[in-house]
Amino acid sequence: MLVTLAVLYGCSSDDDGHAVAEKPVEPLTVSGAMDWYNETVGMLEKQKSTTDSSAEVPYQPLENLAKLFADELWYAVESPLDFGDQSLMIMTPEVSDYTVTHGDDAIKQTLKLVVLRNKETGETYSFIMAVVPELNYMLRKGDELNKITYLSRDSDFDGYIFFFTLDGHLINGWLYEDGKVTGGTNLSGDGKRTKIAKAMYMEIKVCGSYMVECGGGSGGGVDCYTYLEVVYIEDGIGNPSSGGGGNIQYPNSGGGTNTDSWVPIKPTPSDKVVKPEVRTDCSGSATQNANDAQNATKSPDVQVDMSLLKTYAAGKDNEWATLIDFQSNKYKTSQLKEGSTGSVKPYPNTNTVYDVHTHPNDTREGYRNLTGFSMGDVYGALYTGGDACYSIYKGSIVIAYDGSEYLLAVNDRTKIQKFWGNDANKELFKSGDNTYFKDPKMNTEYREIRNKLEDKGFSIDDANDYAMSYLLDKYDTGLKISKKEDGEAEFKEMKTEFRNAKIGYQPKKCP
Amino acid sequence: MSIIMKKLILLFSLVGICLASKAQCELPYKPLSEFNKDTTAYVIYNFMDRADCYKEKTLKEVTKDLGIPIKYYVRIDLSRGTLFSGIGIYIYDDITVSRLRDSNKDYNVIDIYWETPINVLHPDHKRLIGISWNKAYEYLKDMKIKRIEVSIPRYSKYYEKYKQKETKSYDPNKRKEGVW
Repeated sequence: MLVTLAVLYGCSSDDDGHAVAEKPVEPLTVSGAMDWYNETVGMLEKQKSTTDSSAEVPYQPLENLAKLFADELWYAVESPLDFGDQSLMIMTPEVSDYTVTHGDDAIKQTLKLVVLRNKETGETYSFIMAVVPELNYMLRKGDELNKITYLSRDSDFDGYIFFFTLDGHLINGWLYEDGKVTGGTNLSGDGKRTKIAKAMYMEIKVCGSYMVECGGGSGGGVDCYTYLEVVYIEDGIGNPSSGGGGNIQYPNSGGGTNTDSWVPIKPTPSDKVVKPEVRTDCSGSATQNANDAQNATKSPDVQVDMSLLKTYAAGKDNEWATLIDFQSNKYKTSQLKEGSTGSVKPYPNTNTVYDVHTHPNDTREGYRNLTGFSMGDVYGALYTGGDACYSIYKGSIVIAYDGSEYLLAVNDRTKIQKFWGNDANKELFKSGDNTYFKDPKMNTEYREIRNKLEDKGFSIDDANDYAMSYLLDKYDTGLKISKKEDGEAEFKEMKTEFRNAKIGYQPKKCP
Repeated sequence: MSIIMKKLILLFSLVGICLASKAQCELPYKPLSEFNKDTTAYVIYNFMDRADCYKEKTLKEVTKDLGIPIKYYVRIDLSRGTLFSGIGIYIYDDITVSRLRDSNKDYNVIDIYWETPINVLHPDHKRLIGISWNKAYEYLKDMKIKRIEVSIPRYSKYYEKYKQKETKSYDPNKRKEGVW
């Protein structure tokens, strides 16, 4: 345990005490905080002498929901925790009684990772912060608990704030009454008992799904167990007049931890999303395609509908589409057309330069659709781009629900017409009934590339986009995929190289 | 038509349906030794022609019958990437599969689709990313199977047989899962 503490609290970027020249403290960012957390978890894993316990609830911070806070002295990145299909609740006895009649869904609390960096010394810490409200406060303001941060507490908070090591050992905790610290935890109950104002029981409840096999069949359900932890509350030690009550107390400033894990949690590395390499070959057609699309979509008669489609992508269940036509020397959109949740068919005409459609998210809670081009989208662009009748067609644009935009550009008209002129090629990019592609070879190739990219740490969206990009190049279709992330000004062309069997596929993107 | 006639027609229909469903798994399992070392023929017979025998069975039962060690697998997520719908299992490693495919040779993949697909954001799916087949197998071995398919490339001598089977089972009203 001492080793763990040394890692958790001694690990500091600039605190060796022998620094000759002071380096400026690097500001903490969400990404930097996740790196710090992952390094700490890695060190914890190496030092762990015991085998994994199945009773421990693994968790990981959710980087995409993490937020950065700061005051004069500290940077603090706070991230909610993902416990998978398990849950962990810490309750006061009153809250526990309340759940008997109202169920566990009524429990409000927050458990989050905090990565803290001192702005002056650069010392960095990571720990778990639990906000456990009293019943009255929970009923009154339970939905606002996430507003209580490490650096800012609610002015009338009633309840407890506990700080744990990443693996669940209690460091310290504080009792709040009407927003003020009125007591602090004595970890063991040892010492001068006269200072102890009260002993409180906290109920800890752990739930998880399970599978059982019985009589040749199997079934599942949710199983929970609870246990009690005693908290000795002392007057005085948490009193603001004694200095700094309410925050985490580090070992070198008088704190300590319970020898046993207080909450059965186990940190696992956060999903670090790998990003594509930066390309250095982006002049010429890559830039030209991006500029062409930019000119069309930002032209006066088009940008209103583009903005509208962006709001539709984010807020409507069905796909919507329009065409950007070039007539009388200017770009114009056709009437917006509504499709279904899975498709919309904008039929191009000989004046069409781009077809545009939205990709909304899945309507089911907790599900997330792919943002990028589908097999049907690619097939549609090949169909239109490969037909000499659509001589000014420059590609297909998708506006995704997350604000990103995609361009499937006709990069080489001769190539696409040559590709489409071969009937066997037409079969290659057809979408399947119960598969990605109808063609078995193409289908297996696509999903293998996607899996390999996901296994390397690329997001599911990137894996799809770059697998598709690779296949478009491999089969010399003349189409190129570019992406504009939400907030970016330009489309950036994507490319996937196959380096060798060992390194595999390497996604790259224009700067 | 009399009521008796109607009842008889209904009875015969029910008997017909029962026989038809029973007939779906009539073919006996045949070991590899009966296929003169033709692994593709072995896979096609046992897992394409006898695909119905594995409905509602588990991954463990398929791998047991396959009897050849699995070297590589891929996860399959359909429905716009939202659902972890199944896996494709290979008896060759990934490099060999690529080489076979690029030289237009059979690579023998069996696609197994789950009875109950899983949200790709669920930890049960996320824990599979980046892990070996052996570890994945431990997680997936008891998953119930909805259907299995053997995917045969166009250049294979077995493709016509595969195509007939695919045409036979084609349902135009079926939702196109890969399309969005």
